Amino acid sequence: MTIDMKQFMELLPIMIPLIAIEAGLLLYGLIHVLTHKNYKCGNRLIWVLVVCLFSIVGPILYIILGKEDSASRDDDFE
Amino acid sequence: MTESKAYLKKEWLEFKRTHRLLAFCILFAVFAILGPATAKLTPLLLEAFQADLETQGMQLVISEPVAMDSYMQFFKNLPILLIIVIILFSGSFTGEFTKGTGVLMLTKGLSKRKMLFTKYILWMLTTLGGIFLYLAIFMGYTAYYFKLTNLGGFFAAAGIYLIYIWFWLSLLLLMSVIIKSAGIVILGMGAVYFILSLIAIIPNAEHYLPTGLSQGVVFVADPTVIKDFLPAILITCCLNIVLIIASALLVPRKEV
Repeated sequence: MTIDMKQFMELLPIMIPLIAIEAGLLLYGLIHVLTHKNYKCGNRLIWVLVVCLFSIVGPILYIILGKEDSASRDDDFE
Repeated sequence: MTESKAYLKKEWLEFKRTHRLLAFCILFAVFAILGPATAKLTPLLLEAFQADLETQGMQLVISEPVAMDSYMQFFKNLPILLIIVIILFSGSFTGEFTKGTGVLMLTKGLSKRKMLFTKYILWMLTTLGGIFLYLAIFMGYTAYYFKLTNLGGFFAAAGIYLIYIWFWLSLLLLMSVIIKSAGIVILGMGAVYFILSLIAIIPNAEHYLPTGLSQGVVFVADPTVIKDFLPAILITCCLNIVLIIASALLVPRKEV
């Protein structure tokens, strides 16, 4: 599929928020998985893969199903 | 009333601080953007495959996308959002009893009935808020890309879909009362959907079933069809009231 400059500019208002949401969620999810060691289910490797491989859905799945409710960062245990 | 208000505040804070509210808003916003985006991009995608398909002898007529294509996407994405809402709230009430956190509330004097209905109010308000966010972003993009047509039909269809969503939330309320685990609540909801789909096979049965309200784009294209579905609207509203009353009557018997 080839799109010309005019079509690209036309699609920009859709692409910008989607890319921003995707990047924001990926960063948030990844930082959260890596700075915490307790999850509701699964382990760190699984959640890193889920967050990185499934864009938008992966981090949301992590927030709903994986993220521990209480704030328990790694450094809290040290 | 004061304890219900305090409990509602606690639930809202929990919803916010566990970042579920954020996830909820993002999902509704993403689907709202994806609707008009899909309508806009589909002809471009079809154009890309046109040459391939024509060599296989298939003739493709690609027309310019219109607002109706976008409306179609709006109603296609709503069931996905509804499933997400149900999954998100399925463990909300049952979890209080399986985790034992509900006992703390009960010992503070909050009745099970108040607990249940406070949760129900939160489910309704957050879902309604999510739908409004979805609708606002969707309409913004649709108005930007297409010429808005059939607006009356669209809002009528969206209103009818809200009654359908209300039905599933009321069913979730009853399921949360009679079933102990969140997983089985979801299975129970699935079983009800399966049964309703089976009944819908009977000719014209959908005019009397809650599932008939999910026609969406059919109502947009021809709003006069809505009057055929008036029995379904009435029956669904009555069913919702029955489900709420049944939940209110059964909840005091729920085992802690």
